[in-house]
Amino acid sequence: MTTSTIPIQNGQSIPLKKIPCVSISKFQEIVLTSVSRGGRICALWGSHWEHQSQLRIMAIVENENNSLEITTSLVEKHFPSLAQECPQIQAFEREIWEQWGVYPEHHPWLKPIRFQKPLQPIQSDKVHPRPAIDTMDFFQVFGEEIHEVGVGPVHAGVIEPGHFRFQCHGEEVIHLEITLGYQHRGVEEALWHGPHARSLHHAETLSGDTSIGHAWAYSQVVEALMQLNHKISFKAELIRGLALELERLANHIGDLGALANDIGFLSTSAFCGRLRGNVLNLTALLCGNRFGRNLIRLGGVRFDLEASRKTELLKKLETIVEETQQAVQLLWKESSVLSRFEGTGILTESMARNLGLVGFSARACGLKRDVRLTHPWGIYQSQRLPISIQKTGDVFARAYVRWLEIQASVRWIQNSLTHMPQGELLIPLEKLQPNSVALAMIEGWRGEIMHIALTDPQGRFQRYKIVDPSFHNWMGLAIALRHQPISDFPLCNKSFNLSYCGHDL
Amino acid sequence: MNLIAFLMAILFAPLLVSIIYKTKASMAGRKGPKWFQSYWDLSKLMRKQSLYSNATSWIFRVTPVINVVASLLVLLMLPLNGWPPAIAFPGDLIVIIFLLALMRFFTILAALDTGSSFEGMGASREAVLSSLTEPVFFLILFSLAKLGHSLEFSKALLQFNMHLWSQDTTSIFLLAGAIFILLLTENARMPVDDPTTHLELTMIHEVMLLDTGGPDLAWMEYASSLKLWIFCSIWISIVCPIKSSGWINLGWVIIGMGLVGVSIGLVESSMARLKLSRVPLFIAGSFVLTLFAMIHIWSAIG
Repeated sequence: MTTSTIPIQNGQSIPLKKIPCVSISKFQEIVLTSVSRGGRICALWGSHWEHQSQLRIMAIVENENNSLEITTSLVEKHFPSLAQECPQIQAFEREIWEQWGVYPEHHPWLKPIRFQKPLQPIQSDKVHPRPAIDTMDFFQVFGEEIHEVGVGPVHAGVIEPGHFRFQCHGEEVIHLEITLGYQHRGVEEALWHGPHARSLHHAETLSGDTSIGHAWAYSQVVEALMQLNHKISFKAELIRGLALELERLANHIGDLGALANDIGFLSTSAFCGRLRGNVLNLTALLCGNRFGRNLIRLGGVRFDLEASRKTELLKKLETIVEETQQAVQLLWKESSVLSRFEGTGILTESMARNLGLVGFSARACGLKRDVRLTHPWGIYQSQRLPISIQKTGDVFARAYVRWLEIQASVRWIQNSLTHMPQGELLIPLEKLQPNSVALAMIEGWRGEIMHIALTDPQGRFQRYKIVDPSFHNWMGLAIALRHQPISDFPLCNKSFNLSYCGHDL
Repeated sequence: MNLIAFLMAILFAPLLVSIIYKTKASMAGRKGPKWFQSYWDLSKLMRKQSLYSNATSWIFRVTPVINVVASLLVLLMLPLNGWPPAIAFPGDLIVIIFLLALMRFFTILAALDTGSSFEGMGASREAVLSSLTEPVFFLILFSLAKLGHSLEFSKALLQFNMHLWSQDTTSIFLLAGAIFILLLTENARMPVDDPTTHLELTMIHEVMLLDTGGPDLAWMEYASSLKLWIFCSIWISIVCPIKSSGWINLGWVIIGMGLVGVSIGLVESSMARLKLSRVPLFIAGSFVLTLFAMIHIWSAIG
C-alpha cells in the first residue's frame, strides 16, 4: 500500500511527481478497500489527458481512521464501474464520463450529471452518445396504479432549479430521481490557468449561502501552494473562523424557520426568518457585507475586528441567541411539530455510510464526520468544538443537529473572542509552487467543502476541482424519500437543504 | 323574502378571511395584509384574463360558475343567527349537503380535466377526505334537526335559544366541537391543509386551482370564502343562544364571526399541519363527537 498511495493532509501541497501512478485495477482496489473498511471517497476526478490517449484520474479517500490518501491512475477509453459495489462512487464516475468521455462500463444508471460540455474534445463520444437534457430517460416504475409526478425545474417558490421525478403509488413515493445541471456556469473551467484576479470572487459566488466556506477553501488551497498556511496570523484565522461560524448560524437558524414554515408552524417560521437576518447583519458588522463577501483575502482577511465592534457583535449575538432559543424551543415542545419531524425521511447509518454523506446530514445519522474535528485547519487546530450527533437519521435528527450546532457555534464564538490576539491582517504573498497538488477541506455549514488544485510547470492551475457537500448528499435525499408520502417531500428536502449551484458548479 | 342574512354573506365573506390572516399575522409578530386585501385581490383577478389549457373541456369552464351559484343557493337557505333565510322548506338540509357536494364534485372534475399530475393528486386527496366528511356532515345536520325538532333547517337552527341551551347543553357542546373540526377540514384550513403554502406537493384544495386564473380564480376564491361563511354561520347559529332579528342580532353576528375568525387563526398559528395520513383520524374525531351527541340526544328523548 505504501507505494500505491501517498498520505496527504488538509491544507498540504505535495509535488505531483511524488504521487504514485498505479494500474486502474490497483486504483479501484485501493478505493474499494478503504470504503469497505468504513472509509469514504472524498473526491475522484479526471485530471487531464497525459498523452492524448490516456486520462489521469485521481482519487482522495478518507480511511476509517480519518487519514487521507491520494492516488492516481491512467485510463484510456473506458474502465470498469465500481458503482454496483460502492454506491457513493456513482456520481464521480458519471462526472468523469461527462467531462472526459471515458466510459465507466456496467455503470447501473449512467446519465450525464450536469449536461455540461466536455472539458476536452472527446474521441469516444460517438461510441457512447450522451442524451440531451430534454430527451433523457428516467427510471420508471410500471403498473396500473403507478403514477409519475414531475416537479421543476421551475418551482413555486423562489428557489434554485432542479427537476424531481417521482414514481408514486397513491401517496407513497416508490422512487425519486433528481436531475440537476440547470445551474452549471463553468466555475471549474473559469479557474483554469489561474489564479486570476476574479478567482476568489468565483469561489465566493460558487454557492450563494456558502460564500465564506468556499472563499476560505480557495484561499487555503492557494496558500498551501504558496507554502503560507502556518504563516497566516492567528488574528486573521480567528476572524475567518468567526465568519464561518456566523455563516453556519445564519443558515441553520434560517433553515429551522423554513422547516417550521413547511409544516405551517408560523411562529417559529416568522421569528427564525427575522433572526437569520440579524445574524447576517452581524457578518455585515464584521465586513460590510451580509454574506461575508470580500472578507477573506489570500494571505488573511481584509477587515479587522476592533474592540468596540467586537463588544457590539458579542452583545448583539447574545440577544439573537436568547430570541432563537425561545423561537426554536417551541419546535421541540409542540407535539404536532414532533409528529411531523420524527420518523420522516429516515436514512440509517449504514445507508449514509454507503452513500458517502457528509456534514450535518451525516451527523444526523450517527456518523462522526466533521472536518473541524477530523481534519482541523486554521483556528480550529487550537479552538475546538464539540461534535453534534444524533442517531435517528430522520427530519427531527437533521433539525436537532442544527440546533445543537447553533449552540456549539455560539459558545465557540463567545469563547474564542474573549481574547483578541495581535497580528497582521494580511501577509505578503509568494509564488505558487509548480507541478504540485494542494488540498483544502472546510466544514461549511452544509458539510465538507473540498477544493483541490493542480499546478502546471509555470505554477498556474492546470486543474481545479471543487467538491461541494451537496455533491455527496443529493443521493441521500433521493433515498430518504423512498416509501415516504409525497406530501412530505418538501419537508425532507428542506431538512437537507442542498445546494443546486454548488453541485452544478 | 328575508335577504339580510344573504346580503351579509355576499358582502362580508372575504372579510372573514382577512380576520383569520390578521390573527395569524399578529400571532407571528407581523403586521399582516390590509383588512380589505381579499377584496383588492378579487378585483385584481377580475380585471385579468382567463386562460384555458387546450386539454380542458367545458367542465373546467363551468366549475367556477357552479361553485359560486351553489354556494349562493346554500346561503339563501341559511339563517344567520336570528335572521331567517330567504328560502326554507322541509328537508332543505339535504339540498344544502348536496349543493356543497356538487361544488366539490365539479372542483374535483375540473382538476382532473387539466390532466396535470399535481391537480390529480389534489383531486384524489379531496375525494378521500370528502368521502369521510360527508357522512359526518349528514349526521351533524340530522342531529341538529332532531334537537331543533324540524327538518326545515332554518327552523331547527332558530330553535337554538336559551331554552334549548339549558336543556341540551352537552349535545350542543359536542356538536359545536364536531362542526368546528368539519369547518377546518371542509374549508382547507390548518391543520388539514395549509392555505398559505407554496408547496404544491403538500396542498389539497389550492393545488386543484393551479391552472385556474383570472376571473375564474376570483370566482373560485370568492366561492371558497362563501363556503367558509356558510360553515361559520351554522356554527354561530348553534353556539349563540340569543336570537333576534334586529340590531341585537347584528351585534351577535359581528361578535360571533369575529370569534370564529380569531379562533381559526389561533388554531392555525398554534399547531403544525397534520401528516396527510393522519387527517382521517382528525375527521374521525368529529365523527366521535357527533356520535356521542347523538347518543345523548336520542337517549334523552327516548
